[in-house]
Amino acid sequence: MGIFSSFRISATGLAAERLRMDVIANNIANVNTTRTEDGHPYRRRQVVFQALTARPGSGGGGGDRSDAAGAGLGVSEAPGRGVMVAAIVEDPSPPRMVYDPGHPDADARGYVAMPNVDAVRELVDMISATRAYEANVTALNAAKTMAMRALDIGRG
Amino acid sequence: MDIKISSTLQKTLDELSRRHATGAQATLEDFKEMLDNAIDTVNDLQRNADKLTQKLATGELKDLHQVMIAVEEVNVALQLTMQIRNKIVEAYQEVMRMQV
Amino acid sequence: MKAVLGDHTLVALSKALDALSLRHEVIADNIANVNTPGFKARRVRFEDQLKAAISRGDPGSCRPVIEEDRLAARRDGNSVDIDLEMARLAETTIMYSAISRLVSDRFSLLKYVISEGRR
Repeated sequence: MGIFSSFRISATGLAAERLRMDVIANNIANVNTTRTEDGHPYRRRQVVFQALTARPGSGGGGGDRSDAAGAGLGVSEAPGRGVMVAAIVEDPSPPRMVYDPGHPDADARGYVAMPNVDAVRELVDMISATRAYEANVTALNAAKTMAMRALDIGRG
Repeated sequence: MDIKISSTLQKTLDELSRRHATGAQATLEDFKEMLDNAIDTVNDLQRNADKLTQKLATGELKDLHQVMIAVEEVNVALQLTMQIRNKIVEAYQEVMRMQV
Repeated sequence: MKAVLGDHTLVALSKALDALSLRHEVIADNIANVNTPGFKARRVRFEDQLKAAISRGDPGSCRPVIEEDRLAARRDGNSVDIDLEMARLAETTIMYSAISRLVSDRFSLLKYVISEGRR
Protein backbone atom coordinates (compact mmCIF):
# COMPACT_ATOMS: atom_id res chain seq x y z
CA MET A 1 0.00 0.00 0.00
CA GLY A 2 2.76 2.44 0.92
CA ILE A 3 4.34 2.95 -2.45
CA PHE A 4 1.09 3.16 -4.41
CA SER A 5 -0.23 5.69 -1.93
CA SER A 6 2.86 7.74 -2.67
CA PHE A 7 2.01 7.74 -6.37
CA ARG A 8 -1.50 8.96 -5.63
CA ILE A 9 -0.30 11.65 -3.24
CA SER A 10 2.19 13.02 -5.76
CA ALA A 11 -0.50 12.87 -8.43
CA THR A 12 -2.76 15.11 -6.35
CA GLY A 13 0.11 17.56 -6.00
CA LEU A 14 0.69 17.58 -9.74
CA ALA A 15 -3.00 18.08 -10.47
CA ALA A 16 -3.37 20.88 -7.93
CA GLU A 17 -0.32 22.82 -9.10
CA ARG A 18 -1.32 22.30 -12.74
CA LEU A 19 -4.75 23.76 -12.02
CA ARG A 20 -3.10 26.63 -10.19
CA MET A 21 -0.89 27.29 -13.22
CA ASP A 22 -3.99 27.34 -15.42
CA VAL A 23 -5.68 29.88 -13.17
CA ILE A 24 -2.57 32.06 -13.12
CA ALA A 25 -2.23 31.83 -16.91
CA ASN A 26 -5.85 32.90 -17.22
CA ASN A 27 -5.21 35.88 -14.97
CA ILE A 28 -2.24 36.93 -17.08
CA ALA A 29 -4.17 36.47 -20.31
CA ASN A 30 -6.93 38.73 -18.98
CA VAL A 31 -4.75 41.46 -17.49
CA ASN A 32 -6.37 44.03 -19.78
CA THR A 33 -9.88 42.63 -20.10
CA THR A 34 -12.30 45.43 -19.32
CA ARG A 35 -15.42 43.58 -20.45
CA THR A 36 -16.59 40.21 -19.23
CA GLU A 37 -19.99 38.55 -19.59
CA ASP A 38 -21.36 40.22 -16.48
CA GLY A 39 -20.24 43.65 -17.67
CA HIS A 40 -17.51 44.11 -15.08
CA PRO A 41 -13.81 44.16 -15.75
CA TYR A 42 -12.09 40.78 -15.27
CA ARG A 43 -11.54 39.90 -11.64
CA ARG A 44 -8.39 38.05 -10.58
CA ARG A 45 -8.97 34.46 -9.58
CA GLN A 46 -6.95 32.35 -7.19
CA VAL A 47 -7.01 28.75 -5.99
CA VAL A 48 -7.60 27.62 -2.43
CA PHE A 49 -5.56 24.54 -1.53
CA GLN A 50 -6.68 22.09 1.10
CA ALA A 51 -4.83 19.09 2.49
CA LEU A 52 -6.48 15.69 2.11
CA THR A 53 -6.37 13.46 5.14
CA ALA A 54 -7.23 9.84 5.79
CA ARG A 55 -9.82 10.68 8.41
CA PRO A 56 -13.36 9.97 7.23
CA GLY A 57 -15.53 12.97 6.59
CA SER A 58 -12.64 15.40 6.42
CA GLY A 59 -11.66 14.86 2.79
CA GLY A 60 -14.11 17.26 1.20
CA GLY A 61 -15.18 19.41 4.10
CA GLY A 62 -13.19 21.20 6.71
CA GLY A 63 -10.12 19.00 6.89
CA ASP A 64 -7.88 21.91 7.63
CA ARG A 65 -4.43 20.78 8.63
CA SER A 66 -3.99 23.43 11.28
CA ASP A 67 -6.79 21.90 13.37
CA ALA A 68 -5.10 18.54 13.31
CA ALA A 69 -1.79 20.16 14.17
CA GLY A 70 -3.22 21.92 17.19
CA ALA A 71 -4.85 18.81 18.58
CA GLY A 72 -2.52 16.03 17.56
CA LEU A 73 1.01 17.27 18.05
CA GLY A 74 3.43 14.38 18.12
CA VAL A 75 0.70 11.75 17.85
CA SER A 76 1.10 8.69 15.65
CA GLU A 77 -1.45 8.84 12.87
CA ALA A 78 -1.95 7.90 9.27
CA PRO A 79 -0.02 9.73 6.57
CA GLY A 80 -1.87 12.38 4.60
CA ARG A 81 -3.52 11.83 1.25
CA GLY A 82 -2.12 14.81 -0.63
CA VAL A 83 -3.78 18.05 -1.63
CA MET A 84 -6.84 19.24 -3.51
CA VAL A 85 -8.12 22.54 -4.83
CA ALA A 86 -11.04 23.27 -2.53
CA ALA A 87 -12.24 26.24 -4.52
CA ILE A 88 -11.33 28.79 -7.15
CA VAL A 89 -12.33 32.15 -5.77
CA GLU A 90 -12.40 35.67 -7.11
CA ASP A 91 -10.10 38.23 -5.59
CA PRO A 92 -12.43 40.77 -3.97
CA SER A 93 -10.00 43.70 -4.21
CA PRO A 94 -11.27 46.64 -6.23
CA PRO A 95 -10.28 47.15 -9.87
CA ARG A 96 -7.39 49.44 -10.83
CA MET A 97 -8.64 52.79 -12.00
CA VAL A 98 -6.57 54.05 -14.90
CA TYR A 99 -7.00 57.48 -16.47
CA ASP A 100 -7.66 56.94 -20.18
CA PRO A 101 -10.49 59.15 -21.53
CA GLY A 102 -10.12 57.76 -25.06
CA HIS A 103 -10.91 54.22 -23.97
CA PRO A 104 -14.33 52.90 -25.08
CA ASP A 105 -15.02 51.75 -21.52
CA ALA A 106 -13.98 55.00 -19.83
CA ASP A 107 -16.48 56.34 -17.31
CA ALA A 108 -17.78 59.93 -17.07
CA ARG A 109 -14.57 61.17 -15.48
CA GLY A 110 -12.35 59.45 -18.03
CA TYR A 111 -11.25 56.57 -15.85
CA VAL A 112 -11.26 52.95 -16.96
CA ALA A 113 -11.75 50.14 -14.46
CA MET A 114 -8.94 47.69 -15.22
CA PRO A 115 -8.68 44.16 -13.82
CA ASN A 116 -7.14 43.81 -10.35
CA VAL A 117 -4.39 41.63 -11.83
CA ASP A 118 -0.75 42.44 -11.09
CA ALA A 119 1.26 40.77 -13.85
CA VAL A 120 4.45 40.70 -11.78
CA ARG A 121 2.76 38.97 -8.89
CA GLU A 122 1.19 36.46 -11.25
CA LEU A 123 4.59 35.62 -12.69
CA VAL A 124 6.04 35.08 -9.22
CA ASP A 125 3.12 32.79 -8.42
CA MET A 126 3.70 30.97 -11.68
CA ILE A 127 7.32 30.31 -10.72
CA SER A 128 6.22 29.02 -7.33
CA ALA A 129 3.66 26.73 -8.93
CA THR A 130 6.19 25.46 -11.46
CA ARG A 131 8.73 24.70 -8.76
CA ALA A 132 6.16 22.86 -6.70
CA TYR A 133 5.07 20.93 -9.79
CA GLU A 134 8.66 19.87 -10.45
CA ALA A 135 9.13 18.83 -6.84
CA ASN A 136 6.09 16.59 -7.14
CA VAL A 137 7.54 15.08 -10.31
CA THR A 138 10.76 14.28 -8.44
CA ALA A 139 8.78 12.66 -5.63
CA LEU A 140 6.88 10.57 -8.15
CA ASN A 141 10.09 9.42 -9.83
CA ALA A 142 11.61 8.54 -6.48
CA ALA A 143 8.57 6.41 -5.66
CA LYS A 144 8.94 4.68 -9.01
CA THR A 145 12.64 3.97 -8.32
CA MET A 146 11.81 2.48 -4.95
CA ALA A 147 9.05 0.30 -6.37
CA MET A 148 11.33 -1.01 -9.12
CA ARG A 149 13.98 -1.74 -6.50
CA ALA A 150 11.53 -3.74 -4.45
CA LEU A 151 10.70 -5.78 -7.52
CA ASP A 152 14.34 -6.84 -7.70
CA ILE A 153 14.26 -8.59 -4.35
CA GLY A 154 14.80 -12.28 -4.88
CA ARG A 155 15.95 -11.97 -8.47
CA GLY A 156 19.18 -13.95 -8.60
CA MET B 1 39.41 -8.18 5.92
CA ASP B 2 41.39 -8.84 2.80
CA ILE B 3 44.36 -9.92 4.85
CA LYS B 4 42.32 -12.08 7.16
CA ILE B 5 40.38 -14.09 4.58
CA SER B 6 43.16 -14.66 2.16
CA SER B 7 45.71 -15.47 4.83
CA THR B 8 43.45 -18.03 6.45
CA LEU B 9 42.57 -19.68 3.18
CA GLN B 10 46.12 -19.32 2.02
CA LYS B 11 47.24 -21.16 5.14
CA THR B 12 44.73 -23.90 4.36
CA LEU B 13 45.99 -24.25 0.81
CA ASP B 14 49.60 -24.12 1.95
CA GLU B 15 48.91 -26.92 4.41
CA LEU B 16 47.32 -29.02 1.70
CA SER B 17 50.26 -28.63 -0.68
CA ARG B 18 52.82 -29.07 2.07
CA ARG B 19 51.36 -32.35 3.14
CA HIS B 20 51.11 -33.46 -0.45
CA ALA B 21 54.76 -32.56 -0.99
CA THR B 22 56.06 -34.40 2.06
CA GLY B 23 53.90 -37.40 1.20
CA ALA B 24 52.42 -37.41 4.66
CA GLN B 25 49.22 -39.32 5.06
CA ALA B 26 46.21 -37.07 5.00
CA THR B 27 43.93 -37.96 7.82
CA LEU B 28 40.28 -37.19 8.30
CA GLU B 29 41.20 -34.83 11.13
CA ASP B 30 43.38 -32.71 8.86
CA PHE B 31 40.58 -32.23 6.39
CA LYS B 32 38.12 -31.39 9.12
CA GLU B 33 40.46 -28.84 10.64
CA MET B 34 41.02 -27.05 7.35
CA LEU B 35 37.33 -26.94 6.65
CA ASP B 36 36.54 -25.61 10.14
CA ASN B 37 39.05 -22.80 9.75
CA ALA B 38 37.53 -21.69 6.50
CA ILE B 39 34.00 -21.87 7.86
CA ASP B 40 34.93 -19.92 10.98
CA THR B 41 36.32 -17.14 8.85
CA VAL B 42 33.14 -16.93 6.85
CA ASN B 43 31.06 -16.91 10.05
CA ASP B 44 33.04 -14.00 11.43
CA LEU B 45 32.62 -12.07 8.23
CA GLN B 46 28.89 -12.82 8.21
CA ARG B 47 28.51 -11.63 11.78
CA ASN B 48 30.38 -8.44 11.02
CA ALA B 49 28.32 -7.80 7.91
CA ASP B 50 25.11 -8.40 9.89
CA LYS B 51 26.15 -5.89 12.52
CA LEU B 52 26.97 -3.26 9.91
CA THR B 53 23.71 -3.95 8.06
CA GLN B 54 21.70 -3.47 11.23
CA LYS B 55 23.60 -0.28 11.98
CA LEU B 56 22.67 0.99 8.55
CA ALA B 57 18.98 0.23 9.10
CA THR B 58 18.95 2.00 12.48
CA GLY B 59 20.75 5.03 11.13
CA GLU B 60 23.86 4.59 13.31
CA LEU B 61 26.04 4.08 10.28
CA LYS B 62 26.06 6.72 7.59
CA ASP B 63 28.71 5.16 5.35
CA LEU B 64 26.73 3.16 2.86
CA HIS B 65 29.84 1.86 1.12
CA GLN B 66 31.14 0.21 4.30
CA VAL B 67 28.12 -2.01 4.50
CA MET B 68 28.01 -2.78 0.78
CA ILE B 69 31.69 -3.73 0.81
CA ALA B 70 31.33 -5.88 3.93
CA VAL B 71 28.37 -7.72 2.44
CA GLU B 72 30.15 -8.34 -0.84
CA GLU B 73 33.14 -9.66 1.09
CA VAL B 74 30.91 -12.20 2.78
CA ASN B 75 29.45 -13.24 -0.57
CA VAL B 76 32.84 -13.75 -2.13
CA ALA B 77 34.32 -15.43 0.97
CA LEU B 78 31.38 -17.79 1.13
CA GLN B 79 31.66 -18.74 -2.50
CA LEU B 80 35.39 -19.25 -2.14
CA THR B 81 34.90 -21.41 0.94
CA MET B 82 32.21 -23.44 -0.78
CA GLN B 83 34.51 -24.17 -3.69
CA ILE B 84 37.32 -25.11 -1.33
CA ARG B 85 34.97 -27.30 0.62
CA ASN B 86 33.94 -29.04 -2.58
CA LYS B 87 37.57 -29.56 -3.53
CA ILE B 88 38.44 -30.86 -0.08
CA VAL B 89 35.52 -33.30 -0.16
CA GLU B 90 36.57 -34.46 -3.62
CA ALA B 91 40.17 -34.91 -2.45
CA TYR B 92 39.00 -36.83 0.61
CA GLN B 93 36.81 -39.08 -1.48
CA GLU B 94 39.71 -39.73 -3.81
CA VAL B 95 41.98 -40.56 -0.92
CA MET B 96 39.40 -42.94 0.50
CA ARG B 97 39.14 -44.64 -2.86
CA MET B 98 42.92 -45.20 -2.91
CA GLN B 99 43.15 -46.87 0.46
CA VAL B 100 41.96 -50.24 -0.59
CA MET C 1 6.66 -10.63 11.91
CA LYS C 2 8.30 -13.92 12.63
CA ALA C 3 11.94 -14.66 11.95
CA VAL C 4 11.67 -17.47 9.43
CA LEU C 5 14.91 -19.41 9.14
CA GLY C 6 15.98 -17.72 12.38
CA ASP C 7 17.10 -14.64 10.50
CA HIS C 8 16.54 -11.64 12.75
CA THR C 9 18.53 -9.33 10.55
CA LEU C 10 16.09 -10.01 7.72
CA VAL C 11 13.17 -9.01 9.95
CA ALA C 12 14.96 -5.82 10.96
CA LEU C 13 15.68 -4.97 7.32
CA SER C 14 12.08 -5.67 6.39
CA LYS C 15 10.81 -3.33 9.12
CA ALA C 16 13.27 -0.70 7.93
CA LEU C 17 11.85 -0.97 4.41
CA ASP C 18 8.30 -0.60 5.79
CA ALA C 19 9.30 2.52 7.68
CA LEU C 20 11.22 4.04 4.76
CA SER C 21 8.21 3.48 2.54
CA LEU C 22 6.05 5.28 5.08
CA ARG C 23 8.62 8.05 5.32
CA HIS C 24 8.45 8.49 1.56
CA GLU C 25 4.66 8.73 1.72
CA VAL C 26 4.84 11.49 4.32
CA ILE C 27 7.48 13.38 2.31
CA ALA C 28 5.32 13.10 -0.83
CA ASP C 29 2.41 14.49 1.20
CA ASN C 30 4.55 17.39 2.46
CA ILE C 31 5.63 18.17 -1.10
CA ALA C 32 2.08 17.97 -2.46
CA ASN C 33 1.01 20.44 0.25
CA VAL C 34 3.90 22.88 -0.09
CA ASN C 35 1.41 25.64 -1.00
CA THR C 36 -1.47 24.70 1.28
CA PRO C 37 -2.14 27.42 3.87
CA GLY C 38 -1.85 26.21 7.45
CA PHE C 39 -0.26 22.89 6.50
CA LYS C 40 2.38 21.66 8.92
CA ALA C 41 5.16 19.45 7.57
CA ARG C 42 5.42 15.99 9.13
CA ARG C 43 8.14 13.41 9.37
CA VAL C 44 8.57 9.74 10.24
CA ARG C 45 10.85 8.49 12.97
CA PHE C 46 11.80 4.86 13.24
CA GLU C 47 15.57 4.47 13.64
CA ASP C 48 15.59 4.71 17.43
CA GLN C 49 12.56 2.45 17.73
CA LEU C 50 14.22 -0.13 15.48
CA LYS C 51 17.45 0.00 17.46
CA ALA C 52 15.53 -0.59 20.69
CA ALA C 53 13.50 -3.41 19.15
CA ILE C 54 16.67 -5.12 17.92
CA SER C 55 18.28 -4.98 21.35
CA ARG C 56 15.07 -6.44 22.81
CA GLY C 57 15.62 -9.32 20.42
CA ASP C 58 12.32 -8.62 18.64
CA PRO C 59 12.90 -6.37 15.64
CA GLY C 60 9.36 -7.07 14.44
CA SER C 61 7.97 -5.01 17.31
CA CYS C 62 9.33 -1.77 15.91
CA ARG C 63 6.59 0.87 15.42
CA PRO C 64 7.41 3.96 13.37
CA VAL C 65 6.02 7.28 14.54
CA ILE C 66 4.57 10.09 12.42
CA GLU C 67 4.94 13.47 14.04
CA GLU C 68 4.91 17.11 13.18
CA ASP C 69 8.26 18.56 12.23
CA ARG C 70 9.25 21.52 14.38
CA LEU C 71 9.81 24.02 11.61
CA ALA C 72 9.06 27.71 11.45
CA ALA C 73 5.90 28.48 9.50
CA ARG C 74 5.59 31.08 6.79
CA ARG C 75 3.04 33.86 6.78
CA ASP C 76 0.24 31.58 5.55
CA GLY C 77 0.96 29.07 8.31
CA ASN C 78 2.62 26.55 6.00
CA SER C 79 5.83 25.05 7.44
CA VAL C 80 7.00 22.94 4.50
CA ASP C 81 10.60 23.63 3.50
CA ILE C 82 10.76 22.33 -0.05
CA ASP C 83 14.56 22.08 -0.10
CA LEU C 84 14.59 20.06 3.10
CA GLU C 85 11.93 17.75 1.70
CA MET C 86 13.87 17.23 -1.53
CA ALA C 87 17.01 16.36 0.45
CA ARG C 88 15.04 13.93 2.60
CA LEU C 89 13.48 12.45 -0.50
CA ALA C 90 16.89 11.70 -2.00
CA GLU C 91 18.16 10.18 1.22
CA THR C 92 15.09 8.02 1.69
CA THR C 93 15.21 6.74 -1.88
CA ILE C 94 18.85 5.73 -1.58
CA MET C 95 18.39 4.10 1.81
CA TYR C 96 15.43 2.15 0.49
CA SER C 97 17.42 1.03 -2.55
CA ALA C 98 20.39 0.03 -0.42
CA ILE C 99 18.42 -1.98 2.11
CA SER C 100 16.32 -3.50 -0.63
CA ARG C 101 19.55 -4.63 -2.30
CA LEU C 102 20.82 -6.08 0.97
CA VAL C 103 17.62 -8.06 1.44
CA SER C 104 17.93 -9.36 -2.09
CA ASP C 105 21.56 -10.35 -1.56
CA ARG C 106 20.61 -12.14 1.62
CA PHE C 107 18.16 -14.33 -0.21
CA SER C 108 20.71 -14.97 -2.92
CA LEU C 109 23.19 -16.08 -0.28
CA LEU C 110 20.70 -18.45 1.31
CA LYS C 111 19.78 -19.91 -2.07
CA TYR C 112 23.45 -20.38 -2.90
CA VAL C 113 24.16 -22.19 0.34
CA ILE C 114 21.08 -24.36 -0.11
CA SER C 115 22.27 -25.43 -3.55
CA GLU C 116 25.63 -26.26 -1.91
CA GLY C 117 27.47 -24.12 -4.32
CA ARG C 118 26.91 -26.54 -7.16
CA ARG C 119 25.51 -25.12 -10.35
